[in-house]
Amino acid sequence: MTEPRFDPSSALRLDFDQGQVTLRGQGPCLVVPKGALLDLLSNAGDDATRNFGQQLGVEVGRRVVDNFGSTIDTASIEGFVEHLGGELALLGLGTLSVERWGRALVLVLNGAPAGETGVSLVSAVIGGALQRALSRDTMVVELMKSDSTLRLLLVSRATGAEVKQWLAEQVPWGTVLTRLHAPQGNAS
Amino acid sequence: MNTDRIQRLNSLLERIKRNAALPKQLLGKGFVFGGARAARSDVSAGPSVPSAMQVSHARPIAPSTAVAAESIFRAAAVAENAVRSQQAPPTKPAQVPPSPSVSNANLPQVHTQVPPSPSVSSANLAQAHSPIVAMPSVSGTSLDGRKPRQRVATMLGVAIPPAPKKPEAPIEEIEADEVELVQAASSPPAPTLDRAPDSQPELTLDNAPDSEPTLTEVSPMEASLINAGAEQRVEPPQSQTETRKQDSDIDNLSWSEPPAEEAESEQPPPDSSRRPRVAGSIDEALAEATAGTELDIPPESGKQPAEGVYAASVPSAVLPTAEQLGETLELEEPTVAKLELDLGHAKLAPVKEELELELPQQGHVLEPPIPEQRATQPSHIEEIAVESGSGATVASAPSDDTLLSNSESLQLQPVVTQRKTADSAPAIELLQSARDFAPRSFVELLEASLKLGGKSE
Repeated sequence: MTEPRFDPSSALRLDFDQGQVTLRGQGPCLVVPKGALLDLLSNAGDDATRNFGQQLGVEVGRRVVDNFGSTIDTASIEGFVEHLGGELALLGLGTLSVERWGRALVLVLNGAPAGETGVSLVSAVIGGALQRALSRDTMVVELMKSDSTLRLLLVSRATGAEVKQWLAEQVPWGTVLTRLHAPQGNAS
Repeated sequence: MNTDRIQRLNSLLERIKRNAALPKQLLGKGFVFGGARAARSDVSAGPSVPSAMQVSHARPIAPSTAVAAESIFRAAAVAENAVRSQQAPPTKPAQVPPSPSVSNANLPQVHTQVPPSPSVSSANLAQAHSPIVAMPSVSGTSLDGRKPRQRVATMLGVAIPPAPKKPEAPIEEIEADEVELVQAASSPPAPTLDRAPDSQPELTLDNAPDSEPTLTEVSPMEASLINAGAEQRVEPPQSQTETRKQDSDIDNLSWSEPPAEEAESEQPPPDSSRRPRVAGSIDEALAEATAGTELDIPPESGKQPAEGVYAASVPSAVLPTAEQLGETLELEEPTVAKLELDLGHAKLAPVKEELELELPQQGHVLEPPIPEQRATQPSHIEEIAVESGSGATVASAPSDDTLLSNSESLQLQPVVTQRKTADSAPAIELLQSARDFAPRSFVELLEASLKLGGKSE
């Protein structure tokens, strides 16, 4: 059974006569500079940024579900990453790839919005998309961030809080992944 | 008379050196460093020193200088001409004669040689009249045939004899920091102060062609010295020899040495300290040694006393004394005995070389020693015993106590440290499980990731 491929053609339409922009045929969109949007979100606060990102992610998840249909639960890693990454790329959030560290699922974004606000925005978008597409409540934790690479770890909320605590204690992210694979009682 | 003259010459030389060491910042507008001169023109195309200071009582700017300035600063030509119109009468470059004559400049000057020079521009003469230190141009056209070393020497004001190419009389600029200039009339070649007698003069003016004579400008003090020298009626051919003689006299005076003490040199060396004569060769040294030459004895040491405590007995004979020989024991005669060799049970000992070292039979330091070798075990290898009884040998550096008392080390109880064995293998299971995990879908991978930490909701 072949999986549907991501088709970016005619995804973004610019109506010069009406001065409107549509994304996948959905409502008028605004083309906003990234810096201006991040400044606005940083001033709005973390909750506002998280809500804004989740709204965007829900739309992304809905489009992914529309592409896969009922086979989304059996979608391969490559196929899901292709569609999810394509939708994120249409939003200008960078290119998506997946790293599997043992059992840990790590999403890698290149060219993601920089800064704390950008990371929060991307995390919220991915969390909302997974919530809408796969009905999984996940916590996206910033595992590592460099100049152009952002690694996000997908864990449960309880584990996410523990991971955040380890990272706050300057524990290397490789060690964090190792600790996650340790049996219960030996994690710390 | 001579000493006064020498002192004045020395002071003049010091002054020249001091002036030569000063930075040459005052440049005449007619002199340009490093610029490539245009052909048949006084305009320098590429000056490296575009600015020149102008003194209040300097003469008006010469037309050739104006041409050079205009060519350099063409962008600011209008403004510059406006300024010059206030300072000097405006002149057009087209109306400027290519080489004004010297006679146009009615200036009190010092000319050791002043032949009619049509190439010397009035601007340069005006600069010579001004307190600006006239620096010669180092551009190639006016100094053709000169080497860079000579150019540098000209810039610094130090006269270095150039190659004898030009038979013309020289013009050398020594210093022009005085307004008052004295003209000294002397016949060529003029006696110069800091130049070798046979040296050729240097052309320092920018506009002078190759074959033009040069001009020497001196300060009043220098001119007075020159006039004083001219009063003595020193003939030019003789001036060379006299100058050399004066130079040699100066050198002799400045580097005078005290008179040698003849009496001191005639004193013979002391008898008690004869100076050793160094042999010219090994053969000569051997010959002297075999000839039985007497050794030099330092006067302090003197001869060794023949009596007393410090008297040393000199062996009179070559044969050893009875004390040295001691008692002589005679050995018995060897007895004749039969040797029975049993080749069947005999073990041939391995032939050992003198420098060969025997390695210990023990395989490794950490291995437990063989019971037979325990008695001969070095004391710096101890055994550490633990409750389990299994031992491990720990090698430590030998201490003085252990080396001194080997018997005490044998009485120590063995203490063996047992290494703990790994009692759990979850790490191996973890690696194995992570390696075996191969999710078939993204949802499966996400579920596995959500279960990490064992606290998945």
